[in-house]
Amino acid sequence: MRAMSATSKVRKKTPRKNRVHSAFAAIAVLVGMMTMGLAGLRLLNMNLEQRLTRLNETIENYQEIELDLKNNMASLLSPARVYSVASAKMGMVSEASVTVVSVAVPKPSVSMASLPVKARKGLGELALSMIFRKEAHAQD
Amino acid sequence: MFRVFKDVWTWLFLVIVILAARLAVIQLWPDPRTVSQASSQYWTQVSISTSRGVIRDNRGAALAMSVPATSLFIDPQYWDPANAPELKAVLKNLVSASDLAKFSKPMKGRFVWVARKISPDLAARLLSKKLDGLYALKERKRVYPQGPLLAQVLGFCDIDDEGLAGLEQSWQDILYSPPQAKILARDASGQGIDLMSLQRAPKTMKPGELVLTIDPILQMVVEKRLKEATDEYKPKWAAAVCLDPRDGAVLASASWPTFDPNKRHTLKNPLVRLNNVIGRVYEPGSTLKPVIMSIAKEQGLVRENEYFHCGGRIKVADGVVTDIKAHGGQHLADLVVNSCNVGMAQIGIRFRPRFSYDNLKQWGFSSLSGIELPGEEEGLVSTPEQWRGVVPANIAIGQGIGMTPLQLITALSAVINGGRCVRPYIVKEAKDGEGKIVYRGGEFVKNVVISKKTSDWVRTVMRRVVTEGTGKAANSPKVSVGGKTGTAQVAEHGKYVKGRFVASFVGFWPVENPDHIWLVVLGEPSQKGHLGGAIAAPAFRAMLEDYLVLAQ
Repeated sequence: MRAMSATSKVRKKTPRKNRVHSAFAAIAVLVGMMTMGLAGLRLLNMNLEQRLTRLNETIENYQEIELDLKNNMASLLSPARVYSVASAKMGMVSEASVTVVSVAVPKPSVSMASLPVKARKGLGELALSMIFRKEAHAQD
Repeated sequence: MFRVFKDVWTWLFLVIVILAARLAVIQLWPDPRTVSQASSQYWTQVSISTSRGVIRDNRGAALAMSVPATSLFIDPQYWDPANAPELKAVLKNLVSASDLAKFSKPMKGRFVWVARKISPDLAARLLSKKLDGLYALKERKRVYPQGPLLAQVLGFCDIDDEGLAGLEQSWQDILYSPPQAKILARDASGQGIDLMSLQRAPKTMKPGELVLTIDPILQMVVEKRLKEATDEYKPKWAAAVCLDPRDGAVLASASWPTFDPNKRHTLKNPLVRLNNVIGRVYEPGSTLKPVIMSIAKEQGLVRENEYFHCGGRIKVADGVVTDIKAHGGQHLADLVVNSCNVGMAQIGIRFRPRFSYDNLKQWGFSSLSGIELPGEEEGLVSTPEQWRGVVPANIAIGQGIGMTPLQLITALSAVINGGRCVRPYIVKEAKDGEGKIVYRGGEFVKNVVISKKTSDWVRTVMRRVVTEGTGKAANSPKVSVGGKTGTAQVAEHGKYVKGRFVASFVGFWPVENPDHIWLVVLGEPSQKGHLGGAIAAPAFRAMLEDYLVLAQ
């Protein structure tokens, strides 16, 4: 009877101890997983932060390039520069110093109807040649 | 119980517990000295200059802006003095001989400037050599993309971007953005790494912006032609200013001698920093006659059909007023058309001192015009007690009274715009960092000094000055111009000096409804003439004709 009670005590103690051990193990695993998860998140955070920093640097660099370009554009569009390039390199001169030559085109003094057919044809060719000459002159 | 202390694991456990506790104490409640030392070792705070606001002309182009620049400094703790010649080899003139000597020896402290605000490319060339202890900071540099254009009006800044002159100084509150402090981590070599730019970057104040009334094409034309006139006539100083007489907007303002705010060495001469348009007081001479004539006509001191005689000189009390020649019989309008001193002196002596003094004050003389620029002079008008003897006659011919070119052109604007004395303005609008408009320049009528009828009459008289009088050289077939010439004597120590003159011409167009009034002043020309009609009027015409072509 005494031996039986001793065995039952042992039987009773063993499952409780196992349960405690299991609980500790579970908690340890849980804490370990949480720690690892936290560390993982922290690593991810650092990685993202670094990427953001790089992005910010890129933005800053582009902003600097933009400022430089704006400065260049303002210099290039400066009226003084435009004027000097136009006059020195492209030959712009003031209106007053431009001479316009106009050539008067002679008009036929006789009426076409009063002329014979052959002469009329000849005058037509003359008029046509004048037109061509005018157009050629216009292209100059 | 004590059996556990015989176990080595127990002792190991206790040691670990003590160490952990101590670690916790050190980490959680560190010694302030340790914190300070660690901070200085691992973190560094640098001051970063931020952009100043942009100044734009009335077409939106930037006249002043900030661009990226790099500054180099040495941390003596990491610096090897043997590397000093490398600095000189790349930076050349930016490192002086004394600087080179300094960098060649061991230095104290943790921060020594090498070069401020150099081009990023040049800095990159030096940094690529990876010299220990040499570091770079990103900064902003103030630049003026259009070079010397509008230099005295824009002003300039010091190396730390604080405005020192011109609009840069007077609009400092709008344009300036305080430097930003940046915290960098240091790596093993002491190089700063920007890890804090995300969450902990302080919120910076954005700078504002100024938009001016300046027409860039007109400004360019005026400066170019003024420079040509100064090259030809070699004056001591010169100025040109253009206004819209209807509302007082300053369309162009040029002063000579001038400087390039991008080149600091051009600032050495103090004369170049003086804005002659607002800071130079001079006796205007005959260009004041339209104002005097307007006052006399408005006060009823003269009649339109009145007849004067000019014999070439007239004695007035204790003095004599002379003319370039005897004009003979002159109608009232002819006094202005032919710039007759003798006739104008006769009008001057009719002035009642107290009333006329107050009247001149109403025209804006001897008081600040109110333009948004620093360094403006008030000018000088004799007090009524001093209006004795020849003084009123002198004032009537534009002598014995001091004013700035801006005051004169403002008064002449009133002559031609119907009598409204408007306050000149050069800032069209000012915006704060958020883009909100905090100031808007515009028409502000200070006084109505003459009637429209008087104004119309004087305007037609001034048209005759250009068509048949002393200002023929300013006439242009392209547009109807009115104007007035001026050749004033220069006083020194209370006496007019022989051979020293100020030549000027004021012109406006179109005569029927003027929207431009320009004043050209050449102070003490030393060659090829001295008369306003001979040297200032042609400069005006050149400006006008250039502008009419280029503005299209």
